[in-house]
Amino acid sequence: MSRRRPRPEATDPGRHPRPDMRMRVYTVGVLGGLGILGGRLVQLQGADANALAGRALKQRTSQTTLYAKRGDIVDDEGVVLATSVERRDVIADPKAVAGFNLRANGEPYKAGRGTGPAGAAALLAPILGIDEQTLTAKLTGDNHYAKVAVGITPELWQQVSDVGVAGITSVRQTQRIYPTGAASSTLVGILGTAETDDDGNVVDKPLSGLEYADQHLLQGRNGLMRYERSLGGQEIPLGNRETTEPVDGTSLHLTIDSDLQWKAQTAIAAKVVETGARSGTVVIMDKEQRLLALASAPSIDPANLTGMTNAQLQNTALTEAFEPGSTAKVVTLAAALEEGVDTADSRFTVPGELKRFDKTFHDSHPHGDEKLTLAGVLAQSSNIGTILAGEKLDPDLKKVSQILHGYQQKFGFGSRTTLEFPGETAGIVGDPAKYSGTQRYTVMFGQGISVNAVQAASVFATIANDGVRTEPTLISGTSDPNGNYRAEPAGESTRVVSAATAKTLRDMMQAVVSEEGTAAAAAIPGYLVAGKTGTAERYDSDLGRYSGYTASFIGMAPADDPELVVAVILQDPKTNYYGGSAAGPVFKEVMSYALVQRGVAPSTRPPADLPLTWGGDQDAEQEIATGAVGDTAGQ
Amino acid sequence: MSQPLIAARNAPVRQLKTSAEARPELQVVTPPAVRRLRLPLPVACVVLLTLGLLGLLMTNIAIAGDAYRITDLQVQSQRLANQQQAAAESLAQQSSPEQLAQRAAQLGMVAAPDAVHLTGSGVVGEATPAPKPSASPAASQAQTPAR
Repeated sequence: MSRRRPRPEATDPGRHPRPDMRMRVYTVGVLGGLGILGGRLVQLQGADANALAGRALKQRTSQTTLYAKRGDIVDDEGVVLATSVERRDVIADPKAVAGFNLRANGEPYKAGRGTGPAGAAALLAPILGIDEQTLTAKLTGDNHYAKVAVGITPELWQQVSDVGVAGITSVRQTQRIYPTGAASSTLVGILGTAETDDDGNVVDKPLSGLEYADQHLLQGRNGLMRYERSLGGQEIPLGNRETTEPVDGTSLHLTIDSDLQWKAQTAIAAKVVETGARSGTVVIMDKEQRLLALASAPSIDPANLTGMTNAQLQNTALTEAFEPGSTAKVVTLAAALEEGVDTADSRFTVPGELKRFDKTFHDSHPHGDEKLTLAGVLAQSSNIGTILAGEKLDPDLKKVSQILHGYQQKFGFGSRTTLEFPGETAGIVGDPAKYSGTQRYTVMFGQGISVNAVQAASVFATIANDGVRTEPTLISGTSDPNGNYRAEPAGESTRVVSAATAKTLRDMMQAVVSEEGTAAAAAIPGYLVAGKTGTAERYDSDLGRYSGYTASFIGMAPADDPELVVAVILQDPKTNYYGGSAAGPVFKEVMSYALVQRGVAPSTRPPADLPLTWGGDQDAEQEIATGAVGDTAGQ
Repeated sequence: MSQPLIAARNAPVRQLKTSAEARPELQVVTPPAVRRLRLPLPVACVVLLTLGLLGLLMTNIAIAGDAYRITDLQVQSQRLANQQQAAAESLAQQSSPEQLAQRAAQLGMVAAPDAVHLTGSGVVGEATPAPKPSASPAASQAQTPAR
């Protein structure tokens, strides 16, 4: 007979005497288990949910800064003066590199490749252009951070990255490059080494020039991208994603012509070296006072800032105030002409010395009584003649000072231009009511007041522009990141002197550059040039007294229909301090280049040839003809 | 038999008051044609579900595939941007006046002397011969054929 297989309970009925009891144990067990799980669930979801979710999100969330590109600075033709490029610093984790191409059992993954730091170095050294030994040493270590290379191009980093060495990463940097180098470094400015702000973002620190002045425009705003990503770096589709687009900086378009800027800078830099001058400045503007070049020497190569001094960062055209000397006689004579007290052929008998107040004034060279016209006074740059002409403005000397001060202000002296250039000086004109007795005379020939080079050039541009002064401009427009160009409004125009006065002054100034004038070296064949030399005593703020000279030449061409104004200023030249012979040749070099480069037609009219003497003054004519004239504004 | 049932049987049949003759006879109406599924319902559900899931899977695969493509294209775009930047940088460097002057000097070029103008009133200015290049340029030597 087949015995039925006994049920377990039946075999041992004593163990579980009651089946419902067993059921209860199961139930309690299951419920207990579920309770624990549920409790844990409540704990996770209720108590720690945010922290844990945050940790999880962090694990798969990647945050990238989307860097804004700094705006470019370009010249009027679009030639780049400053632009930003991306660079990479290569960082190694030596501990991770130790396991390069190495299996746990010591075998290489890929045969034919070295292992560890030496293997990685062998592959990377030729790309980075570093000695293999040096690189191996850098990659070997027990730490997690070693800087392998600095400032490599993104293309090069791509090659490094393609080798695929685990533990080699890069940090993005931006580098500002200045293709025109030292020629425009003082104008464009320098961007200092990048700094990290409180949020860990890299920010630029401009040091000087337009980089500093227009930082808020150029800078732009960095963006941010947060996304969930897989282990391989791919974005998880439909994952959380948050993007703040970066806003690139605005680009500046200057009125500067980079060719002229370079020409002016190389010419003045060479002259500074030749004459042993402290500094030199060239300003080129058109008659609407659009600045075409603002060259300054010494300057610094922005690619190599080692040993940089503060002086090399200054654009002396705007930051340096100096006593203009004889070039300011133009303002005095303009006042005399405009007020109608003098004409170009007004006759003056100029004595060898003139006692006024408590001082005896001299001209740069001793002479007896000379019979000069107003044009002759300017051509010969006579201090005494200028005083005589100026005195005619009003019988009351204080009123003369007031009138002159009014003209100086109208020509732009004593107040900053609207260029808003960092460190720009307004110059010092002072209050005419507080002038000392001597100063009332010296300001007539440009001592006892100070100006910057752009202000000095502005006087001549005003005369070139038929007596209308336009506020100097340096920035012609801006273009936003989308490329929309917005022209800056033109500078404000005000009439300073009448067109007739301006024409007379231009005719008078032609004689300065003639054989009879103080600056024959500034003559340009084919073009009539009108200009004025200046050889002023230089006030040395370090010494607190007058020491050395300021040699200058400011002129315009063609004098019959002026297009361009060039100012050349040399501070404290040692070997040759006369404006005509030191600054004149630089003027000629720069101006003749600029005229041809800008396609200015040569002069067709004959020179003005105003009479410089009267009454057949043989001595004066003789003196002028032999060139024994100077322009030193001695006190 | 229980008492209530007997009572019920004996109870008189209630006659309907309404006229039995007016009432129409009940007829069997044919139901509107029901389209019968070939597949039984559960099978259809499973098929639909499977198709849905498959569609979802395909969509997901496509999206994921696109994510990879996007990454690849971004990498490629970055490479091209890098190349473009390098080219622009090199162009800016080479077109700076300083570099041009240097290159011109290397090629044996010299700065032009004062210009001479041909105007309506004749020739203005004085023609002067161009100065000799200061150093013998390497480029011109390279061009002379070697024997």
